[in-house]
Amino acid sequence: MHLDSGLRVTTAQVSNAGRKAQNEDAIGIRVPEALTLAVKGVAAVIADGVSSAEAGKEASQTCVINFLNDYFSTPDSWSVQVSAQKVLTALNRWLYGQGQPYLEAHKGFISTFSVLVIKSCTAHLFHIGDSRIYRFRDNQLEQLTRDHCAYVSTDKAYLTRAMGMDLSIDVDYRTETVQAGDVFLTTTDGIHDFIERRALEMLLQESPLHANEDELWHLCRRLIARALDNGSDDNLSCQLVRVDALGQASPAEVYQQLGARPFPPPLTEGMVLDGLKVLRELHASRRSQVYLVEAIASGERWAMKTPSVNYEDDAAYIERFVFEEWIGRRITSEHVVRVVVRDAPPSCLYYLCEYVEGQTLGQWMQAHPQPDIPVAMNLVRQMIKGVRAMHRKDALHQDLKPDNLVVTDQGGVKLIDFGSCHVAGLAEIDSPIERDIALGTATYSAPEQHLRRQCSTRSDQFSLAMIVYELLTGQLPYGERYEHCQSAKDFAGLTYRPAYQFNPMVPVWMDGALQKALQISPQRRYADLSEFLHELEHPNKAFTHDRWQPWLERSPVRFWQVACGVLMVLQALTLWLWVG
Amino acid sequence: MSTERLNLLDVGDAKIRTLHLSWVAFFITFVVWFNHAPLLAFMKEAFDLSSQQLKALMILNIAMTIPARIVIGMLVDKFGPRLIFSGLLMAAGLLCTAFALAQTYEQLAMFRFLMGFTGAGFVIGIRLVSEWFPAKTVGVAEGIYGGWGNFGSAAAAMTLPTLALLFGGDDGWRKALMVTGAIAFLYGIFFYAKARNTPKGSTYFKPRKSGGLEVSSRRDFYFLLAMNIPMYLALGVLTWKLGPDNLGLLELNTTFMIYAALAVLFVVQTQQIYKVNKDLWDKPQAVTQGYKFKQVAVLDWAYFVTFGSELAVVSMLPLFFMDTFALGAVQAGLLASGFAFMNLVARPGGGWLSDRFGRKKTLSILICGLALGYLLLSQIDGSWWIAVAVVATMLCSFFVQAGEGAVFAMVPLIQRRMTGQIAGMAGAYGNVGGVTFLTVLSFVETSTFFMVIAAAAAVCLVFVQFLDEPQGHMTEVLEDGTVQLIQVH
Repeated sequence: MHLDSGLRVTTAQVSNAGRKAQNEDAIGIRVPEALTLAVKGVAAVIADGVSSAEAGKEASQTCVINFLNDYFSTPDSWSVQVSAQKVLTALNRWLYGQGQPYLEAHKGFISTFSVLVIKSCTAHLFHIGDSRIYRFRDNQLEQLTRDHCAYVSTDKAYLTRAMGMDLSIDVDYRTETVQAGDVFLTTTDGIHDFIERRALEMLLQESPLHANEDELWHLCRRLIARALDNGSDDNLSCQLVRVDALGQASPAEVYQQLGARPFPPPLTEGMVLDGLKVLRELHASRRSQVYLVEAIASGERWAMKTPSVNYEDDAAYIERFVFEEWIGRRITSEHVVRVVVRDAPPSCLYYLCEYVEGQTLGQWMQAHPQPDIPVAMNLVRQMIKGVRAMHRKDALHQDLKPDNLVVTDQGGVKLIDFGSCHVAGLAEIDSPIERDIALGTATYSAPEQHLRRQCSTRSDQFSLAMIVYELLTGQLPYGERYEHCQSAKDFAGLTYRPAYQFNPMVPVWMDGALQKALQISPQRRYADLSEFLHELEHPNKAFTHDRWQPWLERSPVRFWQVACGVLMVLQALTLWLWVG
Repeated sequence: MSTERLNLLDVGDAKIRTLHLSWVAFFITFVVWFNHAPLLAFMKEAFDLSSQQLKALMILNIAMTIPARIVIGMLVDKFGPRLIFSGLLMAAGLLCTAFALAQTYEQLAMFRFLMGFTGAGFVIGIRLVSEWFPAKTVGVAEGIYGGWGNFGSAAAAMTLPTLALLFGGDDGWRKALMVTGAIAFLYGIFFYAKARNTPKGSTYFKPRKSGGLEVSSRRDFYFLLAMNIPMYLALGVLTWKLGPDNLGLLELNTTFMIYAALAVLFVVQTQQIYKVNKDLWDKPQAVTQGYKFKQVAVLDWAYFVTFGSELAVVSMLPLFFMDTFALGAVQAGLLASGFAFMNLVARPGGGWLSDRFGRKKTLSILICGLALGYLLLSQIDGSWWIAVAVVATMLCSFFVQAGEGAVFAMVPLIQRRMTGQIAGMAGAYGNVGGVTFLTVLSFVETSTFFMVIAAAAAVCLVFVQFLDEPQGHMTEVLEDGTVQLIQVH
C-alpha cells in the first residue's frame, strides 16, 4: 500500500490548574502509526469544562478521551468531516443526557471543545465554545476560530454554544491548507484572556520553533507563566503542533511504491501463482481480467482479479486498483462480495474475492422478463442493502449496472466490482498523480456523473432505480436517447415513460417512487435509499391521488354505465319523437 | 507477449464481429485510397496527362493524410469510432464518385487531394479494436486488422483494371471507380447499423488531458520538437511542388498562405507540447523514470522507410510495370498487386519474429533486407524476365511489411500508457515517408527512386542500432505451471 503518509509533526502540551483548586481543562494529542496516520491524520483536542456547571471536569475529560478513541475507530473510508461529525454528535448526546437531572441546562455536563485534525495536506478544524485554535505562519499569528460567547458587560461573558448545552448543536467546521513549518496553537481562555494576541505573537516569534519537543514544551510553560503573571485566575492549557513535513509523497516516491508489485502476466489454465491454480478465465476486458482460481493447499475457490498490462505504467490506474481491494476489505455485508485476505503477501498485483456462483442480473433479467413484483422486490431489497453497506462506509459505488450484480443460485444478490468507487476518506489524501474520474456506464449512471459534476449517494440511487425499472419492465425509463445525452440541455429534454406502460402489473404508486428516484436533478430524488425502498413497498398516497387521470381510467365501469345510460336516454328520446 | 489464439469464426462473439467489421471497413478505405493507382494508365489516356502530372496525383493522394490523421483522432475522441468510421466511409464514397466524374485535371487533382482523408481510417479502427479486446489478445487482433486491411491496395490493383475492361468503353475506368465508391458508401451505412463503440455496458473513465506527447527530460523535449520538423518540411516541399514554379496547380498567393498556415500550425503544436511538459521547467527534475524519446524517434524513422516506401511503391508500381514491360493495364495491375499481397502474412509475421528473436536484431535484419530488396528492384529493366521481377518485388515487400509489423510490435513496449500517441506519431511518419519518396520520384528516374529508398533504409539501419532493447518484468512459467516473476532492470 502506498498510503504511508509522509506527515510528520512535533507536539507539546501543558495543562495547569492555575489559581483554581481543580483543573477543569482537558487536553489530548494523538499521532497514530503509518496507515492510520495516512487515513485519519493527527488529532489535537482541547476542552474547557464550564466552571458554572457541576460536572465541568467530567464533561471536558469525556470530550477529550472519547473523541480521541472514537475518532480513530471510525471506518478508514470515512472522510474527516463525516468521522468527526458522527463522533461529536454522539458525544454531545451523551453529555446532554448526563446533564438532564440538572434542571438548568447551564449546570449540566458542559464543555467547550476545539479539535484540530491534520490529514495529508489539510487541517480540519471543529470548534464550539471559546477555546481557540491559532495558526502561526511566516511570523504571523492568526486566530482560526471564533469565540462563541456573548458579552453582557466588558468583563462578563457567557458561552452561547458548547458541548452538552443542547440536544442539537452547531459545530463550526473549516479546512485550511497546511504548509510545512506551520505551527498550530490551541489555548483555553485561561491563557488567551490574559495574553493579548500581539503579546502571544511576540512570544512565539522569540521562540525557536524549529526546535525539538522539549523546547516546544518549554514554550507552553512560558505561555502559562506569562498568563499567570498577568493575573489569570482560570485553568490554563495550551497545545503546540508543528508540521515538519506534509503528508504528501513526491511523485517519484509514489511511482516507486505503486510500481513495487509487478503486474502478473496473462494467465492461462493450469498456471500456478502464489499457490493458486488457475482453473479458467471468467472475464477479460480492456482494463482487467478475472480468473477462477483454486488454492492448491486448501482446495478453496476464489475469483482473482488482475490488472491489464495495458496500464502497466499508468500510476492512476494502479492506485485505483489498489484502492479497489482496500475498500473491498472494509465492507462487510452479505450483499457485497467479500475480498479475501491470505496470510502470505501476494507476489504481484492482484486481489482475491469470494467466487459467487450464479448469473449476473443482466443474464437473470433475460431469463426472467417481467418477473412477478414480489420476486423482483426480493432482489431489489437485497441490492439496496448492498449499496447501503457501501454508503455507510462513505463510499459511492458509481458503477451500478446489471452486470455488476450477481444473483446467486440460492436467490441472493451480491454487489461486485469496486473499480469505480469513490471513497471520501481516500479522496482527501493528496496525490501528486492525476487521478482517474469514473464516469460509470452510459446507460445506467446518473446525469450528474455524465456531466462530471459532484456525485452523491443520490447518484447511486439513480442508477439503482434504473436497474429496478429495467428489472420490472425490460425497458429503460428514458429510452435509447438517455445514453446519447451530452449536455444538461439534452438531459432536460428527456421524458419519463411510466413503468406501467410496459408492465401493467406495476402499481401507479410504485411507478411514482421510481419516477422520483429517477429525477434528472439530484435534489428532487429521495434524500435516502431507505426512503426509496419504503415507498417501493408502501403506497404513497401522493402518487395515487394527485395525479389527474381521465375518467375512463379512474373508473372504467362507471364510465361505461354512464355512457350507456346517456345513450339509452337519447335512444328513448329519439324513439319517442319518431313515434310521437 | 502471449500469442493467444483468436477464434475468428466465432461470430457469435461480439468482439470477433467487431474485428471483422473493422478490418473490412479498413480494407475498403484502402481500396478507395489506392483505386487510382492501377487505373492511372486510363486517366493518362483520357486526359492526356504528362508523367509529372501523374506523379503529382500520387503525392496528392497521400499528402492530406498527414493532417487528416490528427483531425480524425480528435473527432474520434469526441464522437466515437462508430460514427466517424461510417462517416468517413460515406464521405469517401461521395468523393470517389466525384473523382470518377472529373472533367479536368484540376478537378481530378482536387478530389484526389480530398480523398487523402480516407487514409486516416486506420486510426479509427485501431481505437475500436483496442476498446473491445483485452490486453492478451489485442496485439493479435490489431495485427489482423492492420494486415488484412492493408491488403485492400492489392485487391484494388488486382480487380479494378479488369472491372474497367469489363465495363468497356472510354468510361470503363470511371465506372470501376464508382463501384468502389458505392461499396464504401453502402458499407458506411452497414457499419453504422452493426458496429458499437464499446462492449455493452462498459465503464467509462474521464479521458485525461492529451495534446502533445509527454517526454521525460528537457533534452528529449527539444528532440521531439526537432522530430516534428520533417512533417512540416514534407508538406512544405509538396506545396512548393504544386506551386507556380513547378506544376502550377496552385497560385503564388495560395502557396504563401499554405506556408503561413504550416508555420502557425507548428507554433500551436509546439505550444501544446510545452503545456504538457511544463513540469520539466517548473519543478526540479525528479529521478527520471520515464522513457527515452530516442526510442520513439528510431521507430518513427523505421516506419518512414517501411510504410512510407510501401505507400510510394504501391502508387507507382502498376504504371512502372506497364511502362517497363509494355503490358496491358490488367496484367500490370495483377502483377503489381504482388507487392501488397504479402501483407496478409508478412505484417503479423514481423510482429511474431520480433517477439521471438529480439526486437533490435529483428528490426535490423528486416531493414537490411529491405535495403537490399530495393537495390534489387532498382536493377529491373525491360530485359528482365517478368516472373523474376514479380518475385523480386514480393521478396522486397516481405521485408517491408515484416518491418512494419516489427515496428508496431515494439510501440506498446516503450511506454504503455502513451501507446496511442506514439503509434500516431509513427503512423504520421509513414505518411511523411510516402510523400517524400513520391516527391523524389517526381524528380528522378524510377531506378534512382528505388536506390534512394535503399539509401534511406541504410541510414535508418544505423539509427536502429541506437535502439535499447525494451525491458520489463520477465515471467517464467515452470514445467509444473508455476509462474515466477523475475525483475529486469
